[in-house]
Amino acid sequence: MAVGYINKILNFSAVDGPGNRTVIFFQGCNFNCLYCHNPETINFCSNCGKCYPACNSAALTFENSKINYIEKNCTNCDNCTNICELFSSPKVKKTTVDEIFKSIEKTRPFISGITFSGGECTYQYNFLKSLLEESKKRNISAFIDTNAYLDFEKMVEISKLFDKSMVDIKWFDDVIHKKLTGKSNELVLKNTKYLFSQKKVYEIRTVVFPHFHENELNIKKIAKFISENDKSVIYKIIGYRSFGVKNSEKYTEFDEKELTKYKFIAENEGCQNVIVK
Amino acid sequence: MNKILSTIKNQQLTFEQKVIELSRHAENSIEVLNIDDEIKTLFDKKIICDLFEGNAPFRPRYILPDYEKFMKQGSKFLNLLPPKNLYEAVNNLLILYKHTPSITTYPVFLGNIDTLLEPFITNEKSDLEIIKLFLTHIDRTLTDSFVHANIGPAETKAGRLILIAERELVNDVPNLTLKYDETTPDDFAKEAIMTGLKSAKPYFANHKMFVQDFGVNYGIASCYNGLPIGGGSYTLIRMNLKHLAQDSENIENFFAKKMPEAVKAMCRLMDERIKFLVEESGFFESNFLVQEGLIEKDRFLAMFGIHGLAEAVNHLMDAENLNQKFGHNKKADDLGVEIIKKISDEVQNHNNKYCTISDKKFKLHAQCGIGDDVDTTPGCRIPAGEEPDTFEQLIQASELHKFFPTGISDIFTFEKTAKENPQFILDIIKGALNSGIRIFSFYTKESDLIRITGYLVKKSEIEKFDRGEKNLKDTVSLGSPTYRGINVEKRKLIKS
Repeated sequence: MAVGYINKILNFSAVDGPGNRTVIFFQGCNFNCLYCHNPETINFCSNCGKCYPACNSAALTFENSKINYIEKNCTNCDNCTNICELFSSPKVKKTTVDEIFKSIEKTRPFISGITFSGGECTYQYNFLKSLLEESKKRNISAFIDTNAYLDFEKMVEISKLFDKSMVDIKWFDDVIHKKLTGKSNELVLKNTKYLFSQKKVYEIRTVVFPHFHENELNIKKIAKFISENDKSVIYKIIGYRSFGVKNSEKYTEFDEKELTKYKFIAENEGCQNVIVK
Repeated sequence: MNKILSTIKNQQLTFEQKVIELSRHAENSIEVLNIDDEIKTLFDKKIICDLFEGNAPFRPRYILPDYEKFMKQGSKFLNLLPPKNLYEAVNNLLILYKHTPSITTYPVFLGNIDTLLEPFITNEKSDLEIIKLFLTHIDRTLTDSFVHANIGPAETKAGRLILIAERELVNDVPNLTLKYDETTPDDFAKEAIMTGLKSAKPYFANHKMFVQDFGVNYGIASCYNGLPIGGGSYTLIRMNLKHLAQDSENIENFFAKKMPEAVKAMCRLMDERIKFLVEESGFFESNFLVQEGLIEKDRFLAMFGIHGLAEAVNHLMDAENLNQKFGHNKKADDLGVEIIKKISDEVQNHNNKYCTISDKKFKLHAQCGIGDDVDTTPGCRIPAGEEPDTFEQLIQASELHKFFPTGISDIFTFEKTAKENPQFILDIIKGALNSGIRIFSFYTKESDLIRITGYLVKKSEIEKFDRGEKNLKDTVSLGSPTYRGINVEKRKLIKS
């Protein structure tokens, strides 16, 4: 039985694919984006114990050099994750495929499907594969929300198991992509192209990040890439917001009035389904 | 005399509201019903409430005329021929609405207005303007939020125009229900959801459940009351389960003595009211709706209301912490179901010969409260602000909805951003109705127009009323205290 690490399960979500979806947020990410709005999902807890004193509701204990999380006492004040220097969370649960589906079956009458998100869901490849196999067995629509950085050979294998993907293309220029995420985008673009060829892309997402100057050019290039592959795919352009971002004081806030400008740029490149938010 | 003078001098009432209130004073100046001491004691303890039905019933509380029949035959009494086009159709309906009695004096049921108007739709653009005028006329003249129209379950051109019009008008009247089942196209249901996100209506009613209870010829009237078309309900009296539990020594005493005694007494009161209405008032002999076959006595039943189940359960279980309370604890939820089941059984033991349509039985209704209700939750709902996760709330409620053929509902609050994904709400509604929810309603937290308990009121109108200003709608005066009394603003928000 595959075992994995889950940051949380969101029972109902309106923004993670079509209809209402239950979202499973995986722990761990192979990127380290400057604007990450849920940085507590990036790394795994080292049991350093620094978060323990920050908890005011007796939801954490620290015994034998190990942090324990008591969910029923938690008020979700986020003190523990805010103080974490490792970009992790003491609330991460080690869990099994059975346990995940026990939870999903409760919400199943009310949802269109499930979405595996993160962190980066493909980072726990074996666990994701088991969950996708189980989804197929149970005939539940399964989407993945991914940075498409997984090794291409493996992407071919799991792409047969999920229904659609929502892919972050964070920056088209590889030099800036490395600055933004810490990794090259070579695999990202190659994998996305493959997913397009298999009709497995539901949505492409890009954050407009004013800290870098060439957002207009970036959106233009990504939009061109999308329209060369499938014009009808949703292109969601998201304005950078500081909520949840570590060191957010370093970055320029996004001016929401500019959103229509980016919509126009993407549509001009041929994208037929552009959403800005 | 003081009450009459005070009504006359009340500057916060419109002329029409004064006339209605003065007529109530007149009715209440006579005593024609035989109310025994046990019933009087239950009134004094606020366990039973007659919801302002008045001392001398001279019309059924809820009347659902057969408007389809009216459209085919016109009306001799009103000197109207069957309509030949949309102008005549809306005009005929508006005329009949003003002659349909009810407890509020306004019609509580306007019919399936989509199928009524569908034969006359010829040009969707110009017909939308006529429908907007029709709905505006209703809002400005039938000035009471218990005035209720139905559409669905099938998609019609008229139904779509009505949804578009309501989205533009954002009126509190009429209340609106979409009868929904698996044959309702998703696209049409999503149109209704987009209207709901703007104007807090329509309700989604579980058509399959209501058809099982009443057959296809039913309507949703007033707040959310399922009743037979061509008939209605003679009366609605309600029992405050919180006060009944507080009057009981313990759970055993509640089940063995207090509840059965109170149910029997309330049934006697309902019998007494129906007897006067049917045998003495002369309504069924003289009203033109009866004479023209638009309603018939044999299609009337009576509604046995309850409310405050959550507080009753929490009191009987001494539940103080949230994890011990109704909605959060299996034992508490099971007790809630047991209470309703036993009340239902007790009510079924009683027969009233005038309730032909319901095999002489009274039918349960989860009553949603009046302005005086403070800290008493409508029907079987979980108190506002204490709701668990939405899917848990829906599963918990679905165990109870089957007991209430004459109406029960739950209300959900979404963010307005849900409009970007109407399928999100449709998925929840489909799941809810498939799980056994009878009526689902929703609005957005940003909306001025909100559902108080079963009726719609604008928050801005409540503010005006609280400042002492007059309101066209008489339901604003009900909504103002209830908005605070049941903590409407604390309702759980379903985030998108």
